[in-house]
Amino acid sequence: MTAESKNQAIQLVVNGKTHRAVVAPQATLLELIRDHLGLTGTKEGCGKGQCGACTVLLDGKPVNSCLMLAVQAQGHQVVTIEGAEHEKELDPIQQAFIDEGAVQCGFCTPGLILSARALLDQHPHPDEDHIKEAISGHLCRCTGYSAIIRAIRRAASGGKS
Amino acid sequence: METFRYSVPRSVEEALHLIKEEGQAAKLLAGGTDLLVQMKEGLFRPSLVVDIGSLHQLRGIRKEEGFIWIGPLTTHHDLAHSALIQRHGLALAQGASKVGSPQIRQRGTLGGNIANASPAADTLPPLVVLEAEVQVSSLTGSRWVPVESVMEGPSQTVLRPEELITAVRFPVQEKGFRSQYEKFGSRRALSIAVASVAAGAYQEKGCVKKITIALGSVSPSIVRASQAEELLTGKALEQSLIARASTSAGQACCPLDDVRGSIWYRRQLVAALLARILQSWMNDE
Repeated sequence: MTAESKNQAIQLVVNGKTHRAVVAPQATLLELIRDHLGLTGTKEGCGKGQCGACTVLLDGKPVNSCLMLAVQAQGHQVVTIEGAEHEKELDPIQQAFIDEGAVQCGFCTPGLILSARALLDQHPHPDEDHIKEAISGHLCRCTGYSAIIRAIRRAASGGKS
Repeated sequence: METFRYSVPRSVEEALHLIKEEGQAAKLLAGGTDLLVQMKEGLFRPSLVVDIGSLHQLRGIRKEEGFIWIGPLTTHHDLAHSALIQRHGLALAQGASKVGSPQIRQRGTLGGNIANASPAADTLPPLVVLEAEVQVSSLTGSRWVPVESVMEGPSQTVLRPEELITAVRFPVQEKGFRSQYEKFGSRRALSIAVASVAAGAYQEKGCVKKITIALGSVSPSIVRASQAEELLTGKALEQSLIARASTSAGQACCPLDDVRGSIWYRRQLVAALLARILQSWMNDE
């Protein structure tokens, strides 16, 4: 065991692909994703876990990537918004956001879609309270949430509104 | 964030060696949901960060020899969803479910919430009414400290720099015990409590045999509402008693006048939250 301030070599799986990276100890997972891997769909809003714009899935669970060191993701599976689609097909949640007009400026959208994905993976048929709880860690300053809730409900019911 | 040396110990003993050698300049990293914010804001500039996140022996919940044992790395999400915690310490499951957001609850840990020592911490009033104790370990041994005595003030604990929280436990209470946590914040998610109340009580045929009431966010640390506890002990819950006890709890605390609420407002909140708990118990009888 060593305690070095030097950069750390890590390995993690992002969107199904194994990545090796050398990162500074203080680099956040968000910085690794955006600056090292060039996956800029993940956004930085507040930088302290209040807005949810930086949400990614860590082993299938939503986390704030701004509040994790990149080194803490060593050996874990990360999914970003770029990994949401399957074989060039949009995730049903992405399609539902389009169909319901649940996107305006789009800054909060990647995080919201990933939290919704984690919800539907656990509870394929959530009620409205489940949906509200699942997105409670996200701020959206454009849509007022109603369209977002409708979109998640639509995705859960197989694309029908 | 400024840079630091980073270490991942493979055992508790290795972690204890690291923090002993580095002293106050070391910080333990569990979930990181408080520590990273504090480091970004420059409140802490550790020379060494000891990442204990992969010490799996410090994670998990089990029933053992009359106690519910909780590993300090157990996340708020896991606490909130644990059948054992819901059954034996409902207030703690409720407190954990009200921490931050789903994302924060996936990462934030019980040990971190205790060590961070915020008067507004959602798990602390529940732990106090469950009579929980914290196992504090160093290279020279370990000791059990009642949760009530761990926190000395905002961000102040009895933990020494060379010590690590290695377990949390509370006794499995006898039949007839119940606990509940109520919090008031500016909104339901991601809010810091303006005031919070936990209560734990034994009731027998509608009569309160024993009750513990702990208040959060209204003093430099978690405080008991002793006078309200005395008023309620030995009595059957009814409207006028609930009103008197609740008012007394509101008067007992010395909250801050700050941006989240005035002294008057916080006292009203404490009374209303305690009344809400006692009412729901009375209606269940």
